Amino acid sequence: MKVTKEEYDTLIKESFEQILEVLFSQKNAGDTITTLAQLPEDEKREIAILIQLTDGVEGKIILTCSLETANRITKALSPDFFEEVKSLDDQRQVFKDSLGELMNILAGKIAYYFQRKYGTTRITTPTIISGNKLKITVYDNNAINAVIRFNYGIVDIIFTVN
Amino acid sequence: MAKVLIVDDSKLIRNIIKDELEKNGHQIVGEAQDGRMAISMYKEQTPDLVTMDITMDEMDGIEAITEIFKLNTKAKIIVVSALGQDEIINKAIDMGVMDFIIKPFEADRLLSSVKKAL
Repeated sequence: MKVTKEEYDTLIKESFEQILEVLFSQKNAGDTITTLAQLPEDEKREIAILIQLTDGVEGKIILTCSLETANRITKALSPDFFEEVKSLDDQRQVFKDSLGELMNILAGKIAYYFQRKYGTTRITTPTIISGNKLKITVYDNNAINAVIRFNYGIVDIIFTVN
Repeated sequence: MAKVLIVDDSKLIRNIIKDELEKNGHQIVGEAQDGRMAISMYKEQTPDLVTMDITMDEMDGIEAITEIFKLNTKAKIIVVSALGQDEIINKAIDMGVMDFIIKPFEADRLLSSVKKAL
């Protein structure tokens, strides 16, 4: 399966724009999103959320971000139920719910985008990975990634195809 | 006012749906986080309407819809899912759901769908 970096960056940026406008109730979300060429060196990857794609497109989508960004996103989505996650060992349900749902919606959009070319794709429920003093790196020669900076921080969305 | 059962593994989405429907006078009679729980709650509560996610652990929404229709051929179900692909939407509609809402959704979309279903 071929997708260019430019095509993938556009897909992710447009998907995020819609997600921010609807889920985060953020007007003119497009103005606040920037695609970066790569993840800044000082940006931490401490949380990873993984969803597998099957049937039409066979692969994985992995969103990584820092704990700080994860907390900001979660607080924006669930302000009434937010409790800050201070340690990477500390798994809070609201953390899983918010970030997991963000990924679920993003995966749905990616699956939708590819349906015409590759048929119907199913997605799994999200898996959230974190580690204490752990830097997460995804090793896959088939991986393509899009780095997005928005109001809540920087996220790196990696797409690997089997 | 309708009795509604909300089915979604995400508490975030359950809260969003619950808040909007309660604001508009509906009663939430249950919240289920997977298809199996949904069937059990459907039997207990006999809601007027069910909102159903598709991708869930234990039992997915498509299987849960099938089982609920076995319990009640006239059940009113609205799918609320991130999986907005044509084949999935068509399958759900062919099964007899009232509507298919793709996440993320605006409140108006949800409310108009519920109004139409009832």
